[in-house]
Amino acid sequence: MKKVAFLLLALSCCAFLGSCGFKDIDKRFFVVAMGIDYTGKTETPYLVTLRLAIPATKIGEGLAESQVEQLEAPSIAEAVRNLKSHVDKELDFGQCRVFLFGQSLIKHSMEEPLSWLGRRRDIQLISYLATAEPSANKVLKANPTTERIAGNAFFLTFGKEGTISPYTVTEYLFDSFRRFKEKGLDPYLPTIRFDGNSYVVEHLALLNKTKQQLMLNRRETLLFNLSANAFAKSGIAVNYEGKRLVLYISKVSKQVRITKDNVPTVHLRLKIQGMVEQTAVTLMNRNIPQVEKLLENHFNANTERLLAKIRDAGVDPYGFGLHYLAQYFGDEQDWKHWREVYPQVKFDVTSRVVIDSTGLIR
Amino acid sequence: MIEQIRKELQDPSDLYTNVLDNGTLRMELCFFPYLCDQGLINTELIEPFTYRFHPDAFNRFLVSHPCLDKAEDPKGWTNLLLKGALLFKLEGTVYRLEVPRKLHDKPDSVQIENTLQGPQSALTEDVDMNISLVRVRYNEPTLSVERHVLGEASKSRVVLLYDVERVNREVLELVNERLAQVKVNMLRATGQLMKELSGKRHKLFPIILQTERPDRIATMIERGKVAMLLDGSRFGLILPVRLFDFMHAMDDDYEFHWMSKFLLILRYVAMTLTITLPALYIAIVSYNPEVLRVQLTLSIAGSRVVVPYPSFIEVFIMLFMIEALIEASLRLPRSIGSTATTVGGLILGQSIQQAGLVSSIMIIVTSVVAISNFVIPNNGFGYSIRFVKYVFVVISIFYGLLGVVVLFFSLVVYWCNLRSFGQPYLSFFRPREEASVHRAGNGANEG
Repeated sequence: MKKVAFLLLALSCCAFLGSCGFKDIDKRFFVVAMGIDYTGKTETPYLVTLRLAIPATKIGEGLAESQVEQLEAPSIAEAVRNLKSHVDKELDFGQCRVFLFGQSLIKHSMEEPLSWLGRRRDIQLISYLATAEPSANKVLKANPTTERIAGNAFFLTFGKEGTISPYTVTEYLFDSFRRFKEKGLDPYLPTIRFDGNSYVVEHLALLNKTKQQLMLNRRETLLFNLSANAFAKSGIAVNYEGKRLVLYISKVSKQVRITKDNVPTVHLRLKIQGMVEQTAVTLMNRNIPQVEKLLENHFNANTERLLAKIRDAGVDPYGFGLHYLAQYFGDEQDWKHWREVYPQVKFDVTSRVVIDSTGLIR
Repeated sequence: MIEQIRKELQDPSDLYTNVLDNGTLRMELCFFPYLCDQGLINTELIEPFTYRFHPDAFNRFLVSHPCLDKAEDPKGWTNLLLKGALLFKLEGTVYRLEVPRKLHDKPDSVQIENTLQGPQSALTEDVDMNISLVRVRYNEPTLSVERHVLGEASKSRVVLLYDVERVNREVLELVNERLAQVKVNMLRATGQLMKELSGKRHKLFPIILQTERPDRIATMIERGKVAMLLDGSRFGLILPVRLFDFMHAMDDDYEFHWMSKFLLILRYVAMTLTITLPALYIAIVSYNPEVLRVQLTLSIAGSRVVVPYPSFIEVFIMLFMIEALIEASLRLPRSIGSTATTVGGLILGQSIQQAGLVSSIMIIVTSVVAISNFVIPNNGFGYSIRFVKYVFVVISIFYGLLGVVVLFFSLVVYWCNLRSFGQPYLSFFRPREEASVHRAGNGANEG
């Protein structure tokens, strides 16, 4: 009897301890997306926008109700704390899978937002990061027409469960933390904008350790995704006998080798497998080697141009520097040397294109 | 003799006494007509007595009859009568004739541990019948049948069955030790015996398996285990057992290999679900909603919007409902049993959600818990599981998801700590001692 009483007492003590964590799901406001903009003001430099999902008992078209709250504050943490007084339920970042940074912020500095994201324990490291055009606030206020559940369009766009586009580069928070800290590997962020009824993600912003240095266009983004992440389900096109020929890529493999010359040369080798998706010219099997050669040359030249452009911007999203250090037991001296010679590094792209089929049965 | 017996038994009205005379011999006899088989009395005693006038012929009959014996000790007379014997006195000597009435002369049909295509016969309430049921299935000369009498008032016969060459001696010694310690007045059911033999009362899980299937008993005896039968109970006990024996249905041995393996896995999944699901519901709804995907989180939040109470009250309401429903359908006569299910399951389940007392997700959780619990093949083990889930619920109220995970780990530790008659409860493989005895037994058979 005494034992039971003691047990009850112990449990009731725990109730007081644990009560701070106990909060029912319907008493929480789930933040599904968060945006941070830089206002440029000295008093309140950060504009924080939260998209909150309103739980609905019915799910259907246009029923994805959400509430957008925004506040300017001297820091992100203060803004979030202050926003709590604007809503009637407890804010919960546990389901926040998307963090958007405005163009103004990414051109200013990413240090403070990353510091906030890294310290909060309820922020999931598998969240997606992106830059928003023109500002995170505008993108979060937009309402895509096909969205059934608040914030779902973001998750489907960036995650691989919905659309899989070669123009959309997915960047996770955990990967960003690494890229912002790691020697010889620089971060990148996809750019999202709203075109009136849906989100468009097709550009890529390349950053050094603090802010944006280069924005890739659509064609370059695809090429980057193909050569850096070996992203299949992509396509490359070439002019063949005056007409457009498009190759669907089903399999890519990538290999990097860096020589230890005074000015190192980066050898990037790619094997691309796929089938012809569209061509206006009748393509016979005997013409395939000729087409493959054409595609290879075209792809090599384009990629080398892209690599040079990225090098000239002073960033290294491919991680060539890290590869160099890893390959040659890099110490501080090597790292210093690499940084000095990086602007002169030569690139040599060799690709092997294999056309599995012409896409037709004869 | 008759006077003495009548006096000792306080002159009962159901005792039949008479004095027969066939012209040459005079016989006093007495018996309880309702405890004895009247037909047997006629053929075995009355007819010979009536037709064999010659005393020598009748004496030869007395000496040679297998069920006949002298009963010289007057103190034992009343006991014999009460066990269904007939006493008669002939020329100053008292004889007894064992003619107990057999209520069960064919095997019962399975009621609890159903199989689709396995044997359909089950144990009866008659221990002799049960022994023969086991013997038919385990037809080895090494099968040992040991008799004990337990219970001061009931004097129930308990029979120990085991294979002499395969049984684990340590277990057998322990069983005999425990049997000697059993102190009960009335032994009515094997469940009682199980409690007495298990030692500590507060065990959360049974360490003795209760079964109604003679084929299970035979299989277990073949594995070197000890079976126990009790007169008047249609269940047998098997020991020592492991957790995995409780999750084993006899169908697994009889049906298609892959499907039975799949069903076995399904049963373990169901067990895990029924233990943890209500607790997980509380933990996820009130502590860690980030575990689920956002779509599900929002729909749970949406269905809980109308519910005024915290999640654990909701869980307790529904668990109380389902337990009451199970209990009610168990106690109700079979003819109106279906009413309880309809009222409870259909009407209440739907309207309790419409009334906004519980969320629709909770209804799903409750049904999964109830259905999964019925998947467990052994009733006693199912009861334990049913209870353990409340411990999980209470812990999850205070500690959330972490509490559930830690408690599940503790449960596994508890299982590892449990011993069934000295044998580990959660050993994946047959315990080494048992296995070695097993091997030695097989070797002896071959030699």
